[in-house]
Amino acid sequence: MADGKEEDRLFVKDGFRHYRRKYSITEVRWGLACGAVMLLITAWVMWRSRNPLDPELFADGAELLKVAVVPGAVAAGGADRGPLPKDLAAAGWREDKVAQFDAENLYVKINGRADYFKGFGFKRLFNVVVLNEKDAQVTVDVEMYDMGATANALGAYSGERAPTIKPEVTDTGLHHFDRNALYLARGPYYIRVIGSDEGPVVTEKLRGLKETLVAGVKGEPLPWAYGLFVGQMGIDPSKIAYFPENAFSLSFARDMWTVRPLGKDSDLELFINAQPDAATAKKTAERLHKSFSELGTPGGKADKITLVKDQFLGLFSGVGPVDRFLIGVRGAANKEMAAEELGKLRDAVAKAPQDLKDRARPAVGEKAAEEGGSDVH
Amino acid sequence: MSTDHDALRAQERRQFLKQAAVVGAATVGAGYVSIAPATWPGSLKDLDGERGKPQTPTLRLPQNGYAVAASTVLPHMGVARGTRVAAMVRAAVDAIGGIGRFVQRGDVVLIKPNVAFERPAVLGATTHPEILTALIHLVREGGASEIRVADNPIESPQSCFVRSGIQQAAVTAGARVYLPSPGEFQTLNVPGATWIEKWPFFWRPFQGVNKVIGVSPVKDHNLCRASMTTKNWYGLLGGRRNQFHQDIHGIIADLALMIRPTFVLLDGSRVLFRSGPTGGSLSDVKAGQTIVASTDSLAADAFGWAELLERKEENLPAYFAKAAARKTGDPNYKGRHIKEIQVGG
Amino acid sequence: MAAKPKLISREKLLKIVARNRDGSPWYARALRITNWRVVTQAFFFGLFVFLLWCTWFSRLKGYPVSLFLEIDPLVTFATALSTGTVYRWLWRAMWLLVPTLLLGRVFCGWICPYGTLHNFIGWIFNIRKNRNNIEANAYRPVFQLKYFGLTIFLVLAAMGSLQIGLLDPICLLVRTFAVAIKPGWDAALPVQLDFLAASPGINDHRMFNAAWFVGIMLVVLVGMNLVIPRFFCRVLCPLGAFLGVLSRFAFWRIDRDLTKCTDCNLCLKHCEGASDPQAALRKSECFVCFNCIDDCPEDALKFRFVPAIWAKRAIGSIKDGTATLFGKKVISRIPETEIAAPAVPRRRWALAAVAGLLTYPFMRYSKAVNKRSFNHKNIRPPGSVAETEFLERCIKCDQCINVCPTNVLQPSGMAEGGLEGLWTPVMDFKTGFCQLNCTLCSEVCPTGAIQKISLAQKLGLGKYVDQGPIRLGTAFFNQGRCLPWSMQTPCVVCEEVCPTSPKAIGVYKEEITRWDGNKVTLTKPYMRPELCIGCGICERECPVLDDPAVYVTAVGESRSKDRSLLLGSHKKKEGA
Repeated sequence: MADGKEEDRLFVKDGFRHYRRKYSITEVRWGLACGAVMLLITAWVMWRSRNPLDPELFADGAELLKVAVVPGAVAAGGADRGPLPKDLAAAGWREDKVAQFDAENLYVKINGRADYFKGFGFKRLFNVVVLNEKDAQVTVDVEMYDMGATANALGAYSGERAPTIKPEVTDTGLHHFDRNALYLARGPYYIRVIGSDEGPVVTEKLRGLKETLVAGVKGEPLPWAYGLFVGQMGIDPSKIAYFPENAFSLSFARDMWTVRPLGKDSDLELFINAQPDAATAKKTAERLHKSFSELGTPGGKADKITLVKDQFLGLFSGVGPVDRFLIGVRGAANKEMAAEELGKLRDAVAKAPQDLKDRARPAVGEKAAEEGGSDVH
Repeated sequence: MSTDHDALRAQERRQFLKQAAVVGAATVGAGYVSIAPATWPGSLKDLDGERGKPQTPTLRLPQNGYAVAASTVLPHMGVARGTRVAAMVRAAVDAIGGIGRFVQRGDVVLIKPNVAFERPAVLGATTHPEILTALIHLVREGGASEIRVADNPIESPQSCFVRSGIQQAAVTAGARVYLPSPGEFQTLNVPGATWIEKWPFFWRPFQGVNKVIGVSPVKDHNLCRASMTTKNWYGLLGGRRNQFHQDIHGIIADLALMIRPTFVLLDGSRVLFRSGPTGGSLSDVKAGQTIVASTDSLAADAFGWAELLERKEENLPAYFAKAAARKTGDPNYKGRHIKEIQVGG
Repeated sequence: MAAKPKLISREKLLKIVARNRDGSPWYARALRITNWRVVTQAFFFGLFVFLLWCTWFSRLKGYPVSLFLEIDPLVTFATALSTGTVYRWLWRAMWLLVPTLLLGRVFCGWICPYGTLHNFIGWIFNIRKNRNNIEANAYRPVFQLKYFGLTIFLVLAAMGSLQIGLLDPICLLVRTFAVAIKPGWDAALPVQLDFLAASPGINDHRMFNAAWFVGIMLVVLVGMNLVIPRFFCRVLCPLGAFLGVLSRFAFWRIDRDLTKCTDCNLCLKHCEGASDPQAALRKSECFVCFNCIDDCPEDALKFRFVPAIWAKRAIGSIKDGTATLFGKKVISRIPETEIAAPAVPRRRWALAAVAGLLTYPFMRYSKAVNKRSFNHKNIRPPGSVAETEFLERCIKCDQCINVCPTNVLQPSGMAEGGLEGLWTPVMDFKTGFCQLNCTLCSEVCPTGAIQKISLAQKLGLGKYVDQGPIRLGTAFFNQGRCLPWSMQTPCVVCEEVCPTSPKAIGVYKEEITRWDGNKVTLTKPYMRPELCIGCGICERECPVLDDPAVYVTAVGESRSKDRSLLLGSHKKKEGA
């Protein structure tokens, strides 16, 4: 029986039994030395944990971003400088290599924003960084976008400008300063110059570059719509915008000039578009009206034009043909306002001098107006 | 001799009876649990296989969400402009009634920042820790007994929380951080939702919570065009989120239905205006110098779309209309009472 | 009636603190050397587990988490053979080398966590009687096997294929913890205790390629203790073999007093190494556990300073009654008291070396390793050296896999790296992705298979701008499975999560009328290969789960020229 019980054991038998008869204090001493070593190791491990060998291991990498360089620009280094004026550097500054981007690789320079420029008929970007000779951290980045046409350049320019800023207008272009940046629309070029900071060195350089660019880039007279809105109606040029395509998120709405006569605080927006003849104008107006109606309910009439009331915002929009022009209003708070502003626009078109009207020709788009429904997201 | 023999027989008989009793009981027991009707106690019977299927309990959030009573007097949105974030958060919340309107003594408050990506805060892809700190301090002043911060990021959760600075900010300010772990998701029932009527939900941080505050950055988004306070609730879901992109607008409208927050904060101090939602370059970010507090997240998002992303010219993304149609909010922020405050110079 | 329960009775306490029978104070028994050994083993096992526990994003701080791998002299020696260098912290092997040369295989008996595990399991499940214990702990010729294994591994290492990690106990145990024990522990934890998780703060269970095999290896090797005590340590362990070879030079050893010994063999009862303390001590097998001293009723065994005196070996000693001529013993009055070197005949050493020489070409000229026809999923972690150098360095310890926060690193099967690459880390983007700002694997790698890199180096920023970011591979689209490309369904999760700026995934917008008449705008993704870094988050997030429509393969990786994709990518490499 006793043997059987021992065999039943699951765990250790006689686990702690030993047979020695003599013990020695030396062993205790050696053991204490072992204990001391273990304490030492523990202390070292704890010390090591508080003093990481690589304190950067958990850094977020924000430091590295400040000196990030666009990879494509390096690859495109040494490109031909295109229409960039020669003397951008001037005294105390030097130019880095010129980089060129086309529609295919524009994203390398401005990812996410490339489609914006493509929407305005982007052709080519000439880009050069001007560095301060005293301090290489102080730089000015000159981006010259060739947009193909004056209207496109103005459109891209207006689209990037904060609504609070009033541009300076000359016969051949617009420009303005904003904090550390200078923006110009001249001829077919939209030029953006961005400084590395807002310090006096950069500000002064921006002023100098403005002169250089105005002198070095040939301007063209402002398009007909400026004549109409500014000359005839007396609206500030800062309120004008241009959409070569996809205006109001409608894919077929092209070559659209818009203006906010009441300023940025009102949603009211007038628009005008030149068509080749009166019949096309009528047809396009009907199509636009149909698209507006998809997002709203009939909202009565104003100045001979049927209005649509937006289903969410409750604002009024409408469009109608005048001769071979298409005129309309969007975002009017009420019918009376819509009628008043539309009337002003209609008068201006009627009174416009013939040479202005002659200049108002539809932009020759690369893509012919195509059939298509409303934008579905 | 014979007595020995009898004793042995008696022992064998006892042994037999014992053994028979054990075998009999086992047989009867096995027969009962397998044959007795399913309604009888202890029965395991499963005639059609239905009982054996895994049971997934579904949860529901409170009927009216976590919103406080609507007010006819107070503005629905407060817009604070300036550069000092802490003061702006306070000003924006004060504009819609002050923290006392939203948080009472003893409340357990969940703050949901956007920590979707492992990016430094300067890149604008995540909620900035500064605004989170300011919000936690504010909520604590309101008397909250516990403040929780939770998100289920797309990338590795710990890395996201640490590298975005949210972990540090939350812990320093005295909030408790909830990182997801596999057992912390349960199916949530969202009545009326198109796609996520039943979907795994990051439930753990919601236990015992009675106020929910969303705080999100303003971001461009490759697919839904703008990711702000409504899209922010995405981070409370688990499961196969990568299917959401097949109807992202429908999903965001569902999210608006899922959570009715106490209020939301929109952090317009940094605007990721392109290359969203991940960003990755400082040139994708611009200073917006604005913080918006609102009881209506759709209105806050519409504000962000028009004034911070500056896309007034374009139509609102489709999810606004879908969410508005369900009356979960109203993107028309202009037609209603807004209060704008300039903080500092 | 029953006495009041007491923690310890007065009598028992008095018995414990009473003087021993030999007149020594009570603590000489309580604090005798074998008890210290148990404490030390517990300490090092605890430290080992603690350091592996700390091998995680939120716990790492500055802990020397790969310490046990760095002090492993076999790792240092074998990588020195294969690369000609000693990487980063591998000099720490000196910490073990010195005690081994002085005292013998103390590592095996006192420090090795795997040895401690075998020791403990062997002890607790030991139900043998004395006689059977003595038999079980006798030396057997099969113990030579470990020396053959060691020879083969070292020959392979010298030729450039590092395979010690297959059996090195530290590598093996770290690997088992990383891919089998930790995920199992986490899965077993109830949600309320998830702060105790080995890998906290993740939203899905971690899973590892063929974890079952690694797990079964542990169960079998530990289970073998019931058949042969310390089976792994005595029969297989290449580190034990290496230390055994070194310990022939040890100055101290167990010494038997022949005048006291009664040949009772009780010293074998708990002998860990089966080193024959009852006869001529096999120095190379002795784990220095001191159990024999504890078990000797005659106090005939002592741990003594017994240096090998060259004069004695060369000509013998009059005192000992021995004489030696040309290395051969001519007079030997008393039996030998030690066998210093491993008991392996010279011809067998040679045979093992030849086996190693032959194994190399078999393995190396398999397709998996070479520049053509390598496996497309042979994707190594960021900072890895080119494949042939990688195989010179990787010890398959899987610390990188252990620390990886996203579960992307997986122990390779035979497919990705061939037999040579078994259990080396590869990236599987179906389970995870390489987190952009993370360089943890490069920090914990003890041998530099994954070189220590800074974040700037990984991202190609700061002073590494010219070099460009580290590319792990290149992503490709399988348009036939992509929702927008082939199913008229909007998606582009891949573009959303792409972390580079500018994004490496671009889109074409297209407005179409679906089969059901609805109009949708599809955004169809495409790759910009110059920008792709192969991080694989697109593949991980792709909703086409089983065979993702966007997937990363190894081609285009920046670690080797042979596997580059785009013309000109070699320029950047050379500029580095």
